[in-house]
Amino acid sequence: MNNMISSLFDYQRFDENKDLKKIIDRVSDKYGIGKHGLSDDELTLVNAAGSIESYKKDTVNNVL
Amino acid sequence: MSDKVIGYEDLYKQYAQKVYNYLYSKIQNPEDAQDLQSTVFVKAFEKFDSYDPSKASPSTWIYTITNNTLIDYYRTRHVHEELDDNSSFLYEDSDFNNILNQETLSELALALNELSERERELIILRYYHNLTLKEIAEKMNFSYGTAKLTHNSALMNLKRLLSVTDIF
Repeated sequence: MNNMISSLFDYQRFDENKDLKKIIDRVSDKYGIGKHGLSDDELTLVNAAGSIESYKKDTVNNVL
Repeated sequence: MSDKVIGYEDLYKQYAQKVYNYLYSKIQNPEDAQDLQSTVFVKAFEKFDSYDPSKASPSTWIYTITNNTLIDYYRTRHVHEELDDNSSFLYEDSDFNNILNQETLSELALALNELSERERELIILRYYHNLTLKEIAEKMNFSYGTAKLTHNSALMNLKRLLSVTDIF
């Protein structure tokens, strides 16, 4: 049973189910646990071909 | 253009991002995640002719290739500390591949909503966030003994709730 539940939650990380995500997010937020995976902002850095555009740091003003 | 090429391209378009996100969530290294993503789709292309949609959905098939690629990555780096007790995804020929789909995840969500709040939270903390029962007891502010009891009752109740579905 434990392994089955683990497998399902791991699969959730791969192919996110929205209903399950709501439950996970509520608990994660309540206990202040960071969400794994990429935020929406980070996702924009990865295009479909998988190449990553790095943040360009403004070294003059020391900001991203 | 052959059907195979069209099929593979659709597979790539649909799953490239998911594969990358999943890999990154595991290894937290964008360059390695990108390399592994490429490896996954090279393997998928090589195996595409033998892929049987009646045996596995495209999602489960790509997920399995992704996890096998991840296993190889960990083995290559001898990263044994990454393999914790909850690493069921590392079973290369998982007995659970037939239940890994959106329908089952929805059923799990329904079942979780039927649990008590305490049981539901414990399950999420244990099996999604991979906390130990000791860590969970501290976070949820009860004793380790209570965590163990709650864990057992949560699993029993989940099994009961999921037994009315096709999962069992």
